[in-house]
Amino acid sequence: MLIKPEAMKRIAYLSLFFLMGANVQANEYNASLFGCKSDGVTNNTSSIQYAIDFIANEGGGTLHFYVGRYLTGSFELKSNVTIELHEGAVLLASPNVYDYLDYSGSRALIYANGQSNIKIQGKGVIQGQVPLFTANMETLVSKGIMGRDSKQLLPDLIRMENSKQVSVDGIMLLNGLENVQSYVGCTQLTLSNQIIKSNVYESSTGIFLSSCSGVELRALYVDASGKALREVGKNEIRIQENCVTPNGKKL
Amino acid sequence: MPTKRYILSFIFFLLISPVFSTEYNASFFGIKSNGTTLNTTSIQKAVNFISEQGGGTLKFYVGRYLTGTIVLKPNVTIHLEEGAVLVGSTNIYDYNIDTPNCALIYGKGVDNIAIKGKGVIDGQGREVAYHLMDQIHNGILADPLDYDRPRNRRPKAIYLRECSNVRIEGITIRNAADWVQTYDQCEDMVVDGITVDSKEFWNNDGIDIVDCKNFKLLNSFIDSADDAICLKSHDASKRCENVEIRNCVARSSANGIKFGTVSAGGYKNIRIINNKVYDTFRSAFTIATPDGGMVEDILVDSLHAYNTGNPLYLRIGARWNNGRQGTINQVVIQNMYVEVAAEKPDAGYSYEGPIEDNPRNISPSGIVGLEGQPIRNVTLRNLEFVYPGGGNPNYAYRGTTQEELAAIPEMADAYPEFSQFKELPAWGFYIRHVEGIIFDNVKLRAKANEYRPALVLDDVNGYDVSGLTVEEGTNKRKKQIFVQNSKK
Repeated sequence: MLIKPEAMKRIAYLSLFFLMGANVQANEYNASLFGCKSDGVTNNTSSIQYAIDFIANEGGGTLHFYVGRYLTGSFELKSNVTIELHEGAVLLASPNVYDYLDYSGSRALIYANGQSNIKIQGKGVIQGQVPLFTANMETLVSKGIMGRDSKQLLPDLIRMENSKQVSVDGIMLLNGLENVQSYVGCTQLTLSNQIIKSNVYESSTGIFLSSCSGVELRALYVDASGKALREVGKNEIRIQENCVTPNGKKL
Repeated sequence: MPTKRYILSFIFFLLISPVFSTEYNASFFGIKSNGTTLNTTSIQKAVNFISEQGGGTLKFYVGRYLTGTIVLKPNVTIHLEEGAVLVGSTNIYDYNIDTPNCALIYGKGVDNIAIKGKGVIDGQGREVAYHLMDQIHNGILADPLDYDRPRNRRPKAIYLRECSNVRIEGITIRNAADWVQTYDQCEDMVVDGITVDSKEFWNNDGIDIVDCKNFKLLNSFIDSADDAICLKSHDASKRCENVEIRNCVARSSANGIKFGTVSAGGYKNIRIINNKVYDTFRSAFTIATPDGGMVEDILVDSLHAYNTGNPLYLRIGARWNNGRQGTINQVVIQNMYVEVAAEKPDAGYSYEGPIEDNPRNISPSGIVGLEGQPIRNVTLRNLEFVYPGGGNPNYAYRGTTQEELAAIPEMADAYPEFSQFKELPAWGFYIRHVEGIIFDNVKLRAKANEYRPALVLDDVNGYDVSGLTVEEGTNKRKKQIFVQNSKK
């Protein structure tokens, strides 16, 4: 087949561009590549989950969210996948209770179980929509569709179980429910440079730890209506430095 | 009866004369109002035909007119009757994407043009942008995807360049994929009584007035996802001159009324009178000149702002200035009332302003020049700014010692924004590198107690704060004015 030189050149550029567009570096992925929309109204749950599974299957990498509001329900983190929320990016928790999966009796916006080397990082935000969510829930309870014990199914913004090498760095966490973030049976857990503001729900715990080891807490600002840090069982907190509540006290 | 004959022939002359405005209905050119027929070529033919006939008006009556880019021609008025909607195609290839500023309605170097009536221009910007995004991901169009969104080829609703004698009247413009309307180097132009409702995609500036001369924006309502009313200067050899913005209402998830960000040439003799701003994430009024632009002779009178993130921010920077020094000189701001929001003031926008520059307590107003490059001759008269107060030093702290003030970075080449310094040492006004500033009947009020003083002056020569009064929660005897390295 004869291809004109200009055409060759165009094909070369096109494929070069495609390579660059698809993967800035081998394992960096933009959220838009998977059809995620930053418009604040599109529910991105399946796109985000597909992206994470895809990246995990490729051996790991980073999913980048740039400035914008990404509405989503529950998704699960997988080993070797990093979620990078750049400054101005908001993961917006769906106010619909049915957008949250039930993970063996607990619910969370971002969930992981039995994974290793997982990270959420950047200056972005993970934000709950508490008044909307609780109003939806109360409506369902009053109609008899949900039981009165539904309270125990309130989703955390982040919940990780039995995972290791876990890091949540730099994120701002806004308006959680009973627990903003909870970690159960995790090892090598680092929480750093976080700003937590969770005062809309009446009694919201900033950080819930249960049976975790190798925990490092660095530079956390925890402004929560409930406890800043709640521990259950035996935890090994190796380091706690520069962690304060609004009145300047340690966690 | 010669009189009768004169009258008859005069009427006949009126009817046939192309010099006098002639009206054509869209249907005359086969343009369909069904919302599905792509009318681009028919509308273009109509515009060309009318222009070739010496000018006239193309009238659209009630209906939905789907179209791609229309290029305006001299002496043609587009008249959209009430109920008529020009609907932008959702296909990116229906736009003039090979020109640097593609738009649904495009004009370059054309005079005596107008868009009038009570009808609507709907850019369908979000859908257009999504189609463009798909084409980029498919590898058909090349784009670097800044912040994971297309940098180039997002169509504006209206782009006019080097046009004179232009009128935009009465219409409503919705949902562009980029800036809603841009008027670049236009002269003798009036935009009157329009409505902008565009919150559907990134960079939805409500109106961009770029290097224009003798421009009036009057009686308009602008609600947009990015800056609402924006003056810019792209060309270092040009500037915005004799611009009047009067009786407008602006809502924005960025700034209400802004000069910049690109400010190459500058701004002279700008009058901003009797406007309202509300629900804005950033400043009610801001001047940013980071690219060498000269700003002089500015009057802001009777500006009222409610539920805004910040009242006022004036800033000289050195970003893309290529050695030229930006200036701000002779600014009078009077009769301004602002209520600053405690919570995020733009909540509910699809494209809310980004949560950024944290941690910081509520930011003060700022007048910030550069070292050796002060902002000159600012008069603040009859102002009242109301802040929520309640800054918490455990969340974010900046003190007023000499070392702490000196540690505030200049940030000359940064994107200028009221929040750029993160925490600042004052709750009302932070003023640095200024020469000549008068506070004449200025009232600053914080509803709750603050750990910071109301006013910090650093490197200010020639200041008069005798007309400043401060109220702060229950604090009665706090030192509210903190002066360093400055003289009266």
